[in-house]
Amino acid sequence: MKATTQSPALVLFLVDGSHSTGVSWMTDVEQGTEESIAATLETAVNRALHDLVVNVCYQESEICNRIALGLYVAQGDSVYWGLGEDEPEDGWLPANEWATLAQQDGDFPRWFNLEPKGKTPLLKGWERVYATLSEFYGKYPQSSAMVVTLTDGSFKELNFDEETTGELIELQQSTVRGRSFVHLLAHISADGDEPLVFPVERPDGEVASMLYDLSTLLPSHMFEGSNVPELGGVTLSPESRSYIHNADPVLLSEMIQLGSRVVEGNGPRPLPMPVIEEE
Amino acid sequence: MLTSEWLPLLEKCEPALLKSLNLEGYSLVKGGPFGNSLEYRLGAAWLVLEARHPQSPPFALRVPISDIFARSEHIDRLNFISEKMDEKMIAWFPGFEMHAFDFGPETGIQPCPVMVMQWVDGEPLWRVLYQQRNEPQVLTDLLHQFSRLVDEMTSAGFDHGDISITNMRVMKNGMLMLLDPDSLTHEELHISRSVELGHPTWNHSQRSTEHTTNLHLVPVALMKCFIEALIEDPSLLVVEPDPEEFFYTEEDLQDPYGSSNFDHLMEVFGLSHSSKENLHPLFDLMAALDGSFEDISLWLEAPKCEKKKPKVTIKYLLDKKICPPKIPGMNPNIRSIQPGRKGWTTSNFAREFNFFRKHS
Repeated sequence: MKATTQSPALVLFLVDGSHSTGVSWMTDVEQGTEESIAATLETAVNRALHDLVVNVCYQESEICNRIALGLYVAQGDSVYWGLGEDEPEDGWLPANEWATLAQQDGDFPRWFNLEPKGKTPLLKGWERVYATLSEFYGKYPQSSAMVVTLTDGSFKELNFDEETTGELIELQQSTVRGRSFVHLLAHISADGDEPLVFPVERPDGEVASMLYDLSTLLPSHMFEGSNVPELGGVTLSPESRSYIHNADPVLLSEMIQLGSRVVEGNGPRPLPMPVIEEE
Repeated sequence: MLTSEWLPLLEKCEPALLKSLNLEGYSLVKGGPFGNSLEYRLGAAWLVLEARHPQSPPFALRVPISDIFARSEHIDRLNFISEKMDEKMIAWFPGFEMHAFDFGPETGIQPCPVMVMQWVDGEPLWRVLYQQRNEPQVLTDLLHQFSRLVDEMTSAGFDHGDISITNMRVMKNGMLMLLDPDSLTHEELHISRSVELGHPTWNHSQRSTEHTTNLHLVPVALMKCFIEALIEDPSLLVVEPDPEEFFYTEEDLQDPYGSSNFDHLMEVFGLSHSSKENLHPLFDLMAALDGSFEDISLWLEAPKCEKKKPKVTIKYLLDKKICPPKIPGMNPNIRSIQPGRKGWTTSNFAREFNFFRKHS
């Protein structure tokens, strides 16, 4: 996924903000630490944005417009702009505008807050995302794009019949039309199902197979060179789909932070060095 | 030097010329109007030839027809523009380099400048507009492209100086490309005179060769108003247009309030001469054309981007360490995920929540 100032890449987050993301999960088994899924999502998205600013957009004392950003929250009956202030007319903001919109909150910059409530109008959310994507491709036909869908997957309220699923997949394909595009989907329900992590084969089950079909292969440049890429202890292969179901907080965070690894900048760039957080 | 004089000379010098330009393995495309000479495009200032290679991208070789464009001050300007475009990674104009070649005394210029430019494969904008006149989405995309191109050009400090329908091409991927670098300037050049006046059907009638930063305002407004109107009414291009007088005539631009073409545009937009309270960009354009050239910026100005108010500084963002998620194996508190194994533990609250959700 190339990102330059002439052909900026678009990163679109679609976040499920429903009440059910208020559920807690165990972030530290030994110490019994719990955190809500919403809090994990919020932290991971903010870290990913910080990572994109520092590792992709910043160069020679300025923020280069390499990453256009849209962040939408599907919550209640509507889909709203999640970066505060008014939704931009285009549906995304250039990097020099979104980068400095963060709040100084504690030790880290915070662009995004999530307060779980209501249902998940995820279908509306995808429609909004594809409409924004279509606008963006109209303006930047050579650009790449990445959509990150984060949901706890309370899919019963979404009426996913075969026809809806087919239409959604067709909408994605007709919007993208073979361009450079990555769709990362993280389905993090607390339903107790077996985890499915970057699968290489289409899984059984209506929802899982639909989400698998919507997900894309990871960009081939991630597999160049001698290092075998891995995420959260899971080795990735060129056939891996960018889909996880029932991951844990670690893998979810890592997946969301894939952003700067997915983007190929103007030149070789070191990957962010892992920092061990102080406990 | 005339085209008919250039072609045999170029044929004679082809191997040496290509070698001097580091284009070994390339050859100039043959054809021409009678199939027996070099294929060429004729610009107002340059003769354009196509150099092709079986494996490498094609180039346009340009030699000057008029010696005005071979003068050292003009070549210096082109060299500056070429480097500046490279530095700014410009995508809306094909990259080019200036070289020189000694064709002998026949050209009257020794050595003679030769421009090597990225070959732009695509259709002229005027033809695409005509062919796609019934496709509003295609036209809307082109309008976006055009607005974006102008924004990028002006924000990078460039001014093309001669924006017109014949100087624009639509590439296969839908991107618009401007052509013709002779009036291209950059703010750092502090140019006071243009070498070209610009086509009279795309410029204010009082425009002179004096260079101002407002040169693009009239052609851009003319182009935008026309494409917007075409989206609404394809009959504006019911017959294939002559690119030299595409829609507007010189007389239209001299007298917009007496012009049937401007009346037609007003009709398309649902405007009337008496309804000026409905502000519309077409009224601004007509007022600008009707007034003096010095005052056009009163009516037309480049759109200003509304910037979001920053809440943090770049320094703050850079000073903050990015904390990636804890890496399994490096932090004993985080377990690694094994495929096929449940990767998380539901909390008591989650169990209760899920139980409630499933049974409610």
